[in-house]
Amino acid sequence: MSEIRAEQSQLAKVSARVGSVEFIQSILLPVLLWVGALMLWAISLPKINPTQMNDFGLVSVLPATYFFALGILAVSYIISLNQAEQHEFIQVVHILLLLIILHGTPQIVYGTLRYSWAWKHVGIVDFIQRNGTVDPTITNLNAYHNWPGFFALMAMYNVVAGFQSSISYAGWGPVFFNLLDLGALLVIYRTLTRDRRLIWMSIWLFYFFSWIGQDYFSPQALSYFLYLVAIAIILRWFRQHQAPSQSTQASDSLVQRLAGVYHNIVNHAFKNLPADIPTASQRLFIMGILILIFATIASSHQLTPLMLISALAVLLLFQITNQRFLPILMAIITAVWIIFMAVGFLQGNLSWIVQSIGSLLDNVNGNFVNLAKVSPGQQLIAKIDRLMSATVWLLGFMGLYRRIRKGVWDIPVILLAIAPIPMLVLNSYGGEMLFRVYMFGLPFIVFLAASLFYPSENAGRSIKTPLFATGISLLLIPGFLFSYYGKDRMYYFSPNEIAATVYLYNNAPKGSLVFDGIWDWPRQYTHYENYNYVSLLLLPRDQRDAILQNPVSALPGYMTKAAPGSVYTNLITSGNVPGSVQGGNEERVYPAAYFVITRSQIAEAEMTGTLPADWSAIIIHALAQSNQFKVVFDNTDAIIFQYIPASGSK
Amino acid sequence: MFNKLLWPVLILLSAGIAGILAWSNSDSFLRSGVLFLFILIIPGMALTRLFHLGDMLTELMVAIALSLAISVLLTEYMVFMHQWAPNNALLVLVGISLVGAGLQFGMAMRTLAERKE
Repeated sequence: MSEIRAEQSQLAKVSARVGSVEFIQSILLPVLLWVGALMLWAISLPKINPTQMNDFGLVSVLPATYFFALGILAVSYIISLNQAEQHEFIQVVHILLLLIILHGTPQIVYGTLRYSWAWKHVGIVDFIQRNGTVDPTITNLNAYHNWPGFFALMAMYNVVAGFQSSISYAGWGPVFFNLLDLGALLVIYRTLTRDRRLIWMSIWLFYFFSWIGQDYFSPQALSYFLYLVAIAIILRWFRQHQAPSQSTQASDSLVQRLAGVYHNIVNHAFKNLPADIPTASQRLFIMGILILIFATIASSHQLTPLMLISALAVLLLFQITNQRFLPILMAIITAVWIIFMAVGFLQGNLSWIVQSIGSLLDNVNGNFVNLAKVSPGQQLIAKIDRLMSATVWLLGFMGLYRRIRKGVWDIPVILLAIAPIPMLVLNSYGGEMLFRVYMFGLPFIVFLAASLFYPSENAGRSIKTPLFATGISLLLIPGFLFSYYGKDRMYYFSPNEIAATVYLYNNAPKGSLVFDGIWDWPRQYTHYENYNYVSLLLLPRDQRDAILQNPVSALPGYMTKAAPGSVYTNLITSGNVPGSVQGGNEERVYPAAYFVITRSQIAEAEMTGTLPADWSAIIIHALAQSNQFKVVFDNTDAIIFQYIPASGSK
Repeated sequence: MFNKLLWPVLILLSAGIAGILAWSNSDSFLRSGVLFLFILIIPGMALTRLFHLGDMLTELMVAIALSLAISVLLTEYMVFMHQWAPNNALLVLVGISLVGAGLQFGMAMRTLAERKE
């Protein structure tokens, strides 16, 4: 009896020891590592001086402690992922910290809203907030008035929450949208596998390979989240649970044999997926939600509906879902919106859209940076971007191979990864289509890439896997930082640049002309419809050269009045909005005209080579010497000239 | 029972607080934070909880997507129909939330009554 008692007490001691070891490894260790990472990150923040950024962007001013913080987090994440005892909240906290460190840093350090397009989006929200409507025929930033969902929502929020503008919170867009995507990705991955390690490794890789930067305050970020939820709903509730018609296997025809093989593969794939069959009322409700999501996406963003149609069509074609009407419904909603609601956009853009359909090579080539033109630093950044994209696909293929060898066919994942590719035939999307194809395929490519580490629930248990995963993660940290923040010398706006912009909008009379080198400055964030905007970069080459040869004689031709029908200066609203400046094709005299040059414009010209390196020096020197131009605002990062026409020149 | 009543109570409270804060005209962080969470989650959760879609995360994600979709389509309607009234939009969201919470209470009470029987 006493022996049994002694044995029991021994067992209790061992189990307590094992329990405490597990507690230390799975909870205490990550908590300590979080504290360490957070402290290192906090120490880093005051040392980051964005005004000192060079051609490599934010990375060039990040102290070593910042990299150590991310390194510790990566090591901690991989350790926790490979623990026998899995606590999902540990992974959640890791990802939260990762998002704050990766995406919260610029908002904290810069103190100003990053990226010029975010300022323009704030401007559209401001337009709706003031006018209570949109102007679909407006010439400037016209697409936003035809797909205003996101902006209308934010304008409503601003009014009820007491914000005058979205500027104060828009900088947190990347943290917020990435956090939203985390939830949607988790739901998707849980329909694809039961292996928690595979799910969380996919999430981890997603955030490091997501370097495209469409997660800022924008309609595409909202639509992307809704796209993910729509895919999650289809995979969870509208997936076939068995491939139909296996009778074809008996036939001798090659096509039918192949179909039989495919059905076997699909059935095998389905067998491994968690099933969830909804009740009739659940089905009806979920379908209703799906239709609302479709309508929201179709009315909020131009490209996402097409990506969703493609994904739905591919899932239907390969019999992953049997809901035939889903792609048709989405196509009808999209077509109805474009034809009836976005007619203002079609009027001005139909010709180039039609022209670019089918021009695959042009559409793809239009996405690549011309390495011969850009600065040496940007050449490296562009190469890292391409390396990151190629790496995730390579890892994806390797993961797919390992997964198939383990007998797992991730048919829905493969289909959803390649579903966006046909969009490349459609058009170049302003030189961004390739990036968007990458972005919409990414959640599924990273799932395959994560399969390289964890191809099955029993695999990946040796010490090699965490070592390999840690090595890859440590390489991805600089890879992401270079790719995502490599252009931040031009995406960052200093308080001095903001001061110049505020001065302009406080003083320029309604209807004024605002001339700049490149639109990369915090312009249009308020009352944007009241001003005409002309950028040197947008002018035809001969006109641009003429201005740079002799700014003082060439510029007054643009700064006095809008020529009838001029596409560069006829940018004011069609007059649909009460109180706005009346536009039209008649000749109009500007009440005032300004030339704005900022540090960010100069940085973009230097980095991208789109304007001659000395463009700003030529213009500043010439205008400062001329009595037709007066410096009305000047600080270290910005200068504004006002055109003073000689009497009688009007 | 606690689980069944938690969300309807939360929905009722947040709808009430959101309504009061929106009409309070204060510039507080509380107002912006509460209204942000309300618009993001509550109208969708008020409806989604009626259908027991499964785990909490799935329900939350579907609820967020539904809340955003309702708000976007509602405000777009106002914008295109020249009926811009953000406070009325909020009123509609509060109304949806109250109806959803009411139905959830009803279902919880019915379950309780069935258990007693």
